[in-house]
Amino acid sequence: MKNITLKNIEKSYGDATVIKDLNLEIKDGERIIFLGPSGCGKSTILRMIAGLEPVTSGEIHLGKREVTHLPSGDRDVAMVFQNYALYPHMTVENNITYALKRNGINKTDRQDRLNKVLGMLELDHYRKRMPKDLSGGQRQRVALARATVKKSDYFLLDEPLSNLDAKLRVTARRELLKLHKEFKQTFVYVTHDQVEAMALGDRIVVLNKGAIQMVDTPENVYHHPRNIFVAKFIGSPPMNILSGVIKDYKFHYGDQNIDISNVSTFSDGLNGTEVYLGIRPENMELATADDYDIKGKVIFTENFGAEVAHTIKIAGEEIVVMSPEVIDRKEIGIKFDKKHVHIFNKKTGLNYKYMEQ
Amino acid sequence: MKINKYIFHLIIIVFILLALYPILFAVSNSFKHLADAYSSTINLIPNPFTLENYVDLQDTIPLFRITLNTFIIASVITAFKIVTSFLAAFALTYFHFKFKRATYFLLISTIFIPFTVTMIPNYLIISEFDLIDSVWGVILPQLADAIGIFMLTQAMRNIPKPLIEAAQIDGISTFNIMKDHVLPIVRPAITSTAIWFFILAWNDYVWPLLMLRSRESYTLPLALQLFVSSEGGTNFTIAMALSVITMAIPLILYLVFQRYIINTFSSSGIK
Repeated sequence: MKNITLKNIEKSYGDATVIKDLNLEIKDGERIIFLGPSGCGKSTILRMIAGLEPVTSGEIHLGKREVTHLPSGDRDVAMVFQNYALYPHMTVENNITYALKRNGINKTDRQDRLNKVLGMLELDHYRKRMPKDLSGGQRQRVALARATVKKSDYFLLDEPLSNLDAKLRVTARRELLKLHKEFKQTFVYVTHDQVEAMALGDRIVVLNKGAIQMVDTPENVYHHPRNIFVAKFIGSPPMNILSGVIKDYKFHYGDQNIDISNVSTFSDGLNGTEVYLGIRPENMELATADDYDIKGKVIFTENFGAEVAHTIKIAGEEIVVMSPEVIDRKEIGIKFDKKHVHIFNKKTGLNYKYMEQ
Repeated sequence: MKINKYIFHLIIIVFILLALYPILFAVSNSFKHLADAYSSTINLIPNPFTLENYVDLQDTIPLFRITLNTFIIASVITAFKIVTSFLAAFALTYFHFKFKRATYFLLISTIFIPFTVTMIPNYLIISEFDLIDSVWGVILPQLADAIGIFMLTQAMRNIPKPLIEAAQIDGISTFNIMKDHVLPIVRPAITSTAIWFFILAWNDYVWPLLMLRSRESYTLPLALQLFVSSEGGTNFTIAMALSVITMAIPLILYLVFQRYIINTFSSSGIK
C-alpha cells in the first residue's frame, strides 16, 4: 500500500493560518498534482508530507504508517526540489549514490541502481562531471536520478520543471512519465503551471488560499469546474464569466438575453436568481448569420496560430471567443454551445452542477 | 586615453614600490655585513653577499626553539578557533533552540571588547593555573573567537536550504550532513579565516610579552624586540634576518594554502 492520507491537516505560522482543515486521500501509485497560484499553500503541503515542515494539527499517513511526527529521514520518501539542490561538491555519480552509501546499500547494488538510472535518463556521459558543469536540463535529470535510485514508494516533486525552458519542459515531462511507468511510485507533484498539471496528473488538487477548491481528473477539472475559482484558474485564456439574472428560462445580461432552458444544470428553481454564467472561449462560435445568442463588439484579436482569440465587448464587460479565422467585423453575433455552459451561485461561487450533491 | 592609462599605471607602480620597499629593504640588508649596511643602506643589492647574519642569529638566540614556539602557538590557536567556530556556527545555523538570536548577538558582541579589558583577568587566571612562561599560557585564552563564528555563520547561511533538506530526506544524520556537505562547501571560508587567525597569532606581541619570560619560551616577535632594544645592541642586520624569517613562514604557508582557496571557490557553483 503506497497511499497517502492527510487528515484534518492545519498549518499556521503564528496567527496566520496557511492550511485549514485539509483532508485528502492519495491513491496507491497515483500521480496527484497540487495546482494553485503562488502562496496557496501547495508547497507547504508537500513539505509537510516530506517532514520538512511540522504540521500544526492533523495526521499524515503513508500507507499504514502514521508519520505525522516522524523526522523526514525516517519517512522513506524521495523528493525533487525546484532548484534541484544537487550537492555542488560532488560529481554526478556521487550525488546519485551518496545517500545509498550512507544508508548502507552495498557497492554492487549501488552500481546497479546507478547504471540503470543513468541509462534511463541518458546521463551516462556525465558521470564524472560536477553540477556546475551541467546545463539546467542535465541538472534536473540528475536530481530526478538521485530521487529515483532510492526506490522509495513516494515521489515528491516541488515544481521540478519550473527552471527549465519551454522546450525542455516537454521532454522532462515525458521523462517523468517514463520513470513513473517503470517504478509506479505514488507521485505528489506541485506546480503552478496548469499545462503541466493537465499533462501529468491522474488527478488534480486545485488549491486557493490554503483550501482545496476541487479534486478530480484533469478532464473534470477542465470541463466541470466546481466553482468560479477553478473555472477561472484553469484554461488559457480563462473561462468567460458573465454576471446576470435568470428570468423566464433566459439569462439576462445587459439588455440582451440567452436561452438557457436546455443547459443541463438549469432548473426551474433558478428562475429569478442572480447567477454567474461561465463558458470557455472555445465553446463559443462567432456567428456569421443572424442565428446567435448574444451580440458584441470586437475590440482586438490575438493570433495563436491554430486559433485566433477575439476579445469582444458586451455591455461593459470583455469576453474572449476562439475562432479558427480572424473576423474583424465590429459588430458580431456569438453562439454558445449550451452543453458547456456553467451556472455558478453568485454568493458561494459554486457550480450548480455540484450543489445538489 | 592612452596617457591616462600610463599615468594610472605609474601611480600603481609607485604604490607597489612604497608597499614593497620595506620588505625588500629587510631582505637585502639581512644579506649584508653590518658595515656595508651602514655605508650603502639604500642600495638594495647586497655586495658582498653574506649569510653571516643568519649564522649569528643562530648563536645569539635559540632560533629553532623560538620558531617552533611561535608555530605551535599560532597553529594550536588557529586549529581550536576554527573547530570551535565551525561547531558554534553549525549549531547557530541549523539547530533551533530558545534564545538562538540572542546567543548569536551576545557572542558576536564579544568582538567589541578590547583586549586591554580581558588582559588582566586572563593574566590572573593563567597565573592561577601556573602557566606563566609557557606556550600553553599564551594559547589557553585564545581557543575560541567570535569573529570565526561570525564568518562561518555567514558562509553557512549562504548554503541553499534545499541542499540540507535533500540530505535530511535521504536519512543522512546531522553529523554526516555537517561532515559531508557543510564542511566541504564552507571550506573556502574556513581556509581564509584560518589564514587570518594564523597571522594574527603569529604576529601577536602584547599577550605573549605578558606571558613569556625566558628566551626558550619566546616567540619570534618577542625575539625581534631583543635586537631593536638597547639590550640587543644595534646590530640591525641581524634584526633584518630575523624579520625575514618571521615574514617568510606565514608567506610560505599562504602560498601553499592559496591553491585550496581558489579550488574550493570555483567548485561551489550553486545556482
